[in-house]
Amino acid sequence: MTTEMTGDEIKRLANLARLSVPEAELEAVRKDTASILGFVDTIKSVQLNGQVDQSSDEINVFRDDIAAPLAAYHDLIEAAPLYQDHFVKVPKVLE
Amino acid sequence: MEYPTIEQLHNKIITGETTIKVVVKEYYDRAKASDLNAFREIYSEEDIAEQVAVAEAMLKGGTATVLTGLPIAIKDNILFAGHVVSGGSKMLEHYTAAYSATAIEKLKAQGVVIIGRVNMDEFAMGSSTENSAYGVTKNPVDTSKVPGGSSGGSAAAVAAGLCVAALGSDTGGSIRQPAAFCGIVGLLPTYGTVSRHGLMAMGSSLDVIGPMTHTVADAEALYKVIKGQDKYDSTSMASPESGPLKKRLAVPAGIFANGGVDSEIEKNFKNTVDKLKVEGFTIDEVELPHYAEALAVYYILMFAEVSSNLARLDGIRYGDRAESLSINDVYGDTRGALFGPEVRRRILVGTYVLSHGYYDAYYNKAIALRSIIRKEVETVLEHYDAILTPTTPTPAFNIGEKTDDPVSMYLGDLFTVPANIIHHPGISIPSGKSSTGLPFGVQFIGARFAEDTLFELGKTIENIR
Repeated sequence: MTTEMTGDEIKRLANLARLSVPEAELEAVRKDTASILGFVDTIKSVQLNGQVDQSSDEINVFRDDIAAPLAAYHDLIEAAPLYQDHFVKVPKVLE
Repeated sequence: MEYPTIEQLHNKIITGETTIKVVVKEYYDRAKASDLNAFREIYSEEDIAEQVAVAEAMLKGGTATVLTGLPIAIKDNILFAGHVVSGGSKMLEHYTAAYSATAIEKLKAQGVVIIGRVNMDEFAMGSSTENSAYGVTKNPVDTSKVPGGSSGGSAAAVAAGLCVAALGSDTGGSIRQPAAFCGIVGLLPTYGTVSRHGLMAMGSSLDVIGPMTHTVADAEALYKVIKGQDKYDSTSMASPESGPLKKRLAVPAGIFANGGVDSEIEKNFKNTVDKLKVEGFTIDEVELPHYAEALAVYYILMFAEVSSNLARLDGIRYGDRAESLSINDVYGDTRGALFGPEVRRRILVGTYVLSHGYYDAYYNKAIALRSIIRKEVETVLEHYDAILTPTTPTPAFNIGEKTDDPVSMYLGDLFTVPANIIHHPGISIPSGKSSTGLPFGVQFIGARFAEDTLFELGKTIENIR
């Protein structure tokens, strides 16, 4: 049981994932993806009987929402590849 | 070669037999001289001198602890403020951490000297360090072999005596598998006991930071320092005490039935079982009907989490950026050019399993199976201390042997992934060697928060091997 995708489907996925795939690599990516999906496809054949209890005693622990100065603010902005006056610079989003 | 333990070094330091400076210099010089490509960066002498001065002041002021002044290496995905941290990726080659991970803050509070960051598969995706954008790390036991991964740099650095201990991270076996390949101890703590704040996220519901060390006692010493609830990680929690040892171990039925396990590893494992029986352990084969599905469940969940977690690496927020004009091309071209092949594969497959029409068949099925496997294991662990298996189905493989076949690489995670998907702790302990001298590891997966049980079991293995 394998899940084969066409080159066009890979392109569609790559676009969804915002990941350019050069035309020359398309076939290799298609082959690898098919073999990986073939490997995980085994779980499709597992029969689940009725509702599965997915409860857990793990809970998220949130801290109080209190404003505090962020010491590393400038460092965080400067980690961006392009910034100006403490703003991250992005290409035009709306035409 | 045998390297000293944390306790031995600490005793020599507090009795004045040696100094922190001498200890650090010895490891630092070895790290500098090593050609294993274990370190991505060894920090500057000035940086080390500053850290040593802090440790010496603690010693002088009477506030030194067992870890004070000891040289430790950190995986290149754990943030240390003011230091470059690349995640083994070209994407973050020049990225400097703006803050420190909670685990690092805790180590620094003990006066630990962090001597550098060590190599890993790109964003922790891999089992050999061959996916690092900066070249493979060599296994110090046999340099034609991989050190395992993704924390391969950590394992190689510890095994070769380039640091006293190292931090790694484990999403599906990335601490335990390289520990087994290099002949050291690796602990996957219970998910949530060690804060993930400052660890680059790969699979957020799976990632755990843990220690990689020469001995079980060393792993215990580091774990006790880095654990604890943290307000910066909402999934972190304090851990209750483990119960007393039952001296009962469970081996999943049929683990050697499929022929995927190296015959020498099987023999070594059965030998370990016999020795444990002599020590008074009861060891039973138990049925875990869905255990074999854990591997596919793990990969589906991890691919899905990778595809969403790595969306933040877009050429806008961090690292480097393609010169493209439109915003979509900046995203696509930056990611296409700066992610390596394995990262790109996992993002694509993750996008697929989460996409409309496939979500139920893959992701929801995996989530349901995760709960079923967890119930099965928890039922077994009501009567047993731990699940006992080899850590890996094969010893360290040749560099280049599996790079063309991602799935054959994935199959090596067979015994380690169950612990991650169900949030249980696991430990790998060295357990003898192959006829060609390659280390074997034996693994215990315990009940949640049963780290103390794992340490006790690990020390038993150290005494009988």
